[in-house]
Amino acid sequence: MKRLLLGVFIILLLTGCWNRRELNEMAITYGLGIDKDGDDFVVTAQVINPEQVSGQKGGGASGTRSPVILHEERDKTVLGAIRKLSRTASRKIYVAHLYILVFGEDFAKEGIGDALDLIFRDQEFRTDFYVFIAKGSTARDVLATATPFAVSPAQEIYDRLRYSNRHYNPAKATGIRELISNTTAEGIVPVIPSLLFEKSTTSSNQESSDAPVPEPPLPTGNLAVLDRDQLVGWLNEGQADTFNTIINNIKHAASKFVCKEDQYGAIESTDVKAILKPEFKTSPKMNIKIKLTGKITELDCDQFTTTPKEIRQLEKIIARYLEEMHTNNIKEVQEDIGVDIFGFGREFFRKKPEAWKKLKNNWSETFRQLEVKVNVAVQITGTGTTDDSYLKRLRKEKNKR
Amino acid sequence: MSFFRRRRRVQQKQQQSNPITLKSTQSLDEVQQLINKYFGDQSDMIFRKVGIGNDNKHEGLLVFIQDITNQDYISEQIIKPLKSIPQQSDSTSYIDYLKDTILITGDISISSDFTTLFDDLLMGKALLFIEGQEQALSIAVDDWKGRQVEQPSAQTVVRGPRESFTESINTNKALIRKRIRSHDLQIKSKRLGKYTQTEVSILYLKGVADDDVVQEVEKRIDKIRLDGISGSNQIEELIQDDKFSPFPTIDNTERPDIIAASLLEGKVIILVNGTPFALIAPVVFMQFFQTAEDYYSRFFLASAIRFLRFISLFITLLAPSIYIALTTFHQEMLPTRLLSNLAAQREGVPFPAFVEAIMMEVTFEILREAGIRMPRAVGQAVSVVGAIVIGQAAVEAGIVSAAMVIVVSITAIASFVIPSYSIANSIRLLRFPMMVFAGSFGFFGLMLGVFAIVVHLCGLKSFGVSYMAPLSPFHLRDQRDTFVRTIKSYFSSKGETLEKSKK
Repeated sequence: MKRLLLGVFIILLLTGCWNRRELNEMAITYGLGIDKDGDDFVVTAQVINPEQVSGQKGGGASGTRSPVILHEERDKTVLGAIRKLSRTASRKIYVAHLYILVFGEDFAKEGIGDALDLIFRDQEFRTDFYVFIAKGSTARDVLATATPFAVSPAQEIYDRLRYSNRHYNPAKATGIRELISNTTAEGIVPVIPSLLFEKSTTSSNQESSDAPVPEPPLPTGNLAVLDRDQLVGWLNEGQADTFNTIINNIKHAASKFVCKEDQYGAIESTDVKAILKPEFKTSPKMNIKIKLTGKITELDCDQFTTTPKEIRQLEKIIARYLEEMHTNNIKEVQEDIGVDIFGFGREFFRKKPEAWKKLKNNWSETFRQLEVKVNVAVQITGTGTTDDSYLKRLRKEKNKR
Repeated sequence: MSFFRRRRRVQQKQQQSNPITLKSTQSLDEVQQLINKYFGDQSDMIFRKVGIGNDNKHEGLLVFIQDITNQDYISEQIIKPLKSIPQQSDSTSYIDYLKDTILITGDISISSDFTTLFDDLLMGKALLFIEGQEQALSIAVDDWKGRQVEQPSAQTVVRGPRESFTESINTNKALIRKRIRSHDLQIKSKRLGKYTQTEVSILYLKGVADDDVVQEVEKRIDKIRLDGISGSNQIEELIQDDKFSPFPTIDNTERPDIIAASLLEGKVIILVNGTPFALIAPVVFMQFFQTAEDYYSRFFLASAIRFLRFISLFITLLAPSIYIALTTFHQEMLPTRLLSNLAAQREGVPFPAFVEAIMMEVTFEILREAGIRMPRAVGQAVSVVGAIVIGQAAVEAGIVSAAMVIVVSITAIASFVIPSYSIANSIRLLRFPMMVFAGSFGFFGLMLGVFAIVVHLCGLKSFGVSYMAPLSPFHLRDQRDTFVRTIKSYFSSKGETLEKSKK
C-alpha cells in the first residue's frame, strides 16, 4: 500500500501541461484573422455564443442575439493581441476548435511568416483548421460576414473549402502543417486558397441590423502562390486544376474535355494519379505521367461508345486534350509566376539528389526554363447507364427538319 | 457496551466450567428442577411424565420445546410405542433396549452429559429420562418452521431451473444433493456462534476441489469466534483474504444450479443456516460478470451479452469522470459541434462540472437507497419524485446541465447490468474517488485511478488463486469461458486457473 502511494506521488511529478477551466469560462473561437497595420498585428477573433450556435432553443430574450461576436485587438505580437482580446470577450480566447485562419491580402504581400510561429508553437492550436487569404480585402472583412443558414460564418467557410476541395478540381484546402512545412521545404513553395467576395451578394434577411451584412466570401480557383511566406501571385482556374492534378489533390472530380470544336464532354474520375519522374542528362527535364480512371458522364461528341474499340479511341482523344491543357498551364506558371509550386525541385531532391545539388542554387531560374513533358493515360471504366449519347440522335432529328 | 459484554462472558465461563452429569439416583422431579434452574421458567417447554409399558412399570419424563417440535410425531412415534411395550424384558440396559427395539426413529442418541442434552433440546430434540437410569435418550423430532422452496428473486433466468435456496440449511443441502448424486460430494458441518449455534456446512467435491483450499477454508472458519451468526455475509467478511479491499473475494448465490456447477469446477461452498445465500470460494474477478443465464442460452448471445457487461462496467466506473475530465480539462478532444452544444448547456449553470456531477450522483444514490427500503406502496411515489429531481426539472431550474443528466442516467442503468450485486456495489462506490481524480487532474488523474485499481486487482488473491486469473496469470484454455463463452463439456469444467494456482 505504501509503495502504491509512493508510486502515485512519483507519477504526479510527471505531469504535462494541463489546466482546469469550465466550459462557460472560455470564448470558443471559430475563426481567427490576422492583418497588419504598420508595425502592429491586428488580430480579429470570431467568438461563438454557444447558446445561439447550438441547436437548443434560446430562452426568451436571448433569442435574437447574434450567434457570433467579433473582437479585434492590435499588438506587436500575435499572442499579445490574442490576450488583449479577453478585455472585450470577458473570457479567455480558446483556439483549440478553430475552423479557419485567414490572412489579409496586404499582410500576405508583406509576408505571413511572423504570425505563423505562435500558431505552430502553441499547444492549444489543434492544427486541423484551414488557412487561406482574403483576396482583395482584409481578414477582418471575411470574419465580419454573416450567414443566413449556417450557425457561424467560420464554420460555413470551413465547409465550403472542404467540400469544394473534394468535388471541384481547381479548389484546394490547405492546413497549417502543409503551409509551414512548404514555406521552409526545398524545391517547393506553398499554395494556399483564397476567398473572394462576390460583389452582388449581400444577404437580404438582415432586418434587425441596420447595415447590410455581407455573406461570407466564396472559395475561388484563384489559388494564392507564396514565395516562402510572401504572396507573389495568383493561379487562374485552369492553372489551379493542373496544379491540383500534379500534386495529387484530386480524387473524385470531373474533368472537362473538348473532342472537337464546340463539342464538350466530361469524365468523372474515380482515380487520378500523377507520377513525377525527374531526368537529368545534360539538362534537367521533368516527365509527368498522369493516370486517370473514370467514367464518361457527359458526351456531346461524334464518337461512339458502343464497342471497346471506340472507347479506346475516345480515351486517346481525352488524353491528348488533357496533355495539351496541362502542358500549356505549366508553361504559363513557369513564365508568369516563376516559382516552383508543383514541387518539381523536391522531386529532383528526392529522386536525383546528385543533380539537385547542382540545381538548387539556381533553382528558380532553372524552373522557369525547365523542360516539362506531360503524358496522360485515360482509362474509361464505364459510360454510365447508356452507351451512345442521346444528344447524337437529338441532333440527327433536328437536322431532318 | 463492550464493558458489559465482557462481564457477561466471564460469568458464562464460570457456569460452564463444572459439567453436570446425570446420576441414577436422581429422581425425575430432581431432573425437572435441574432443567428449570438451567433454562429459567420457559413457557414453551413441555415436561410430560409417561408411564412406560402397558403395566406402567417404569416412569419416564419426556422434555421438549413445543414450538420447534412436531407434536403428532411425538405422540405417534414416542409416546404410543412406549405405552405399548408388550412384555418387560429384564435386560441390563433398559435405555439401549428402548433405543434399539422400541423407538423407531432415525436420529436417536444416548447421553448422560447434561450440557449435550440441553444442546439437543435446543436443536429441537425430545429428551427422554427414565427413572433410575443414568443415561437419557435424545430423539430427533424437530420441526422448524420455514419457507418452501421458491423461485429465485435476486438471480432470475429465462431458461433455467427455478429453484432457489431457503433459510433452512437442510433444504439447501437437499437441493445440492439432488443435483450432485455422488459419493464424492463431501459435506462437513460445524456450529458457530456462542448463542446462536448456527450450523455452517462446507461442501466440496472430493478429487475435484483442491485439498489445500478446503483445508484453508476450514481453518479460517474454525478461527471465527462470535456470539452470533446472523447471515452468510458475516462469515464472508471474516474469512475473506483482503478485508479492506473494495472487491469481494468470495461470491454468493441463491441458486443451487450455480452451486452445483461451482462444485464441479472445484470450488468450495459454504452454507450457513438461516441464509438463503451460499458462499463460493475461491473466486476470480471475471466470474462476477458471468451469469447462470450465459449457460442456458445460445453461446453467441451469451458471448455478446458478456461484452455488453464489460462495456457497462466501464460506463459505471468511468462515465461521470470522463465527462468531468472532458469538459473541464480536455475540451480540445471533443468534436467542435458537441463542444458548442455542451457549452450552451453549461451556460448559466452555477457549479463547476465536478460539483455538478457529485451532486447528481449523490442524488441518484439517495433515490436508489430510498427505493430499496421503501414499503412497496410508497415506492411508486419515490420513483415519480425521483424522475422529476434528476430529470427535466433540474435542468430547467438551471442547477445542472442536460448532458449531466444523461451521463448520470446511463451510469445508473449500466450499473444494473453488472450481474453480481456485490461487485456492482464495489464499482458503484469506486466511481466517486474516480470523479475526484478526474476533477483534480483530468484524464491524467483518471489514468492514475484506473492504474491504482488495476494494480490492486492484480495483487488480490482469493484463497490462493490470483484474482485476475485467467488474464493475469494468463491461462489460454480458460479463455474459452472468460470474455466469451464457447461450447464446452461441463464435466471437464475445472479450469486451468484453479489447477495452476496450486504450487
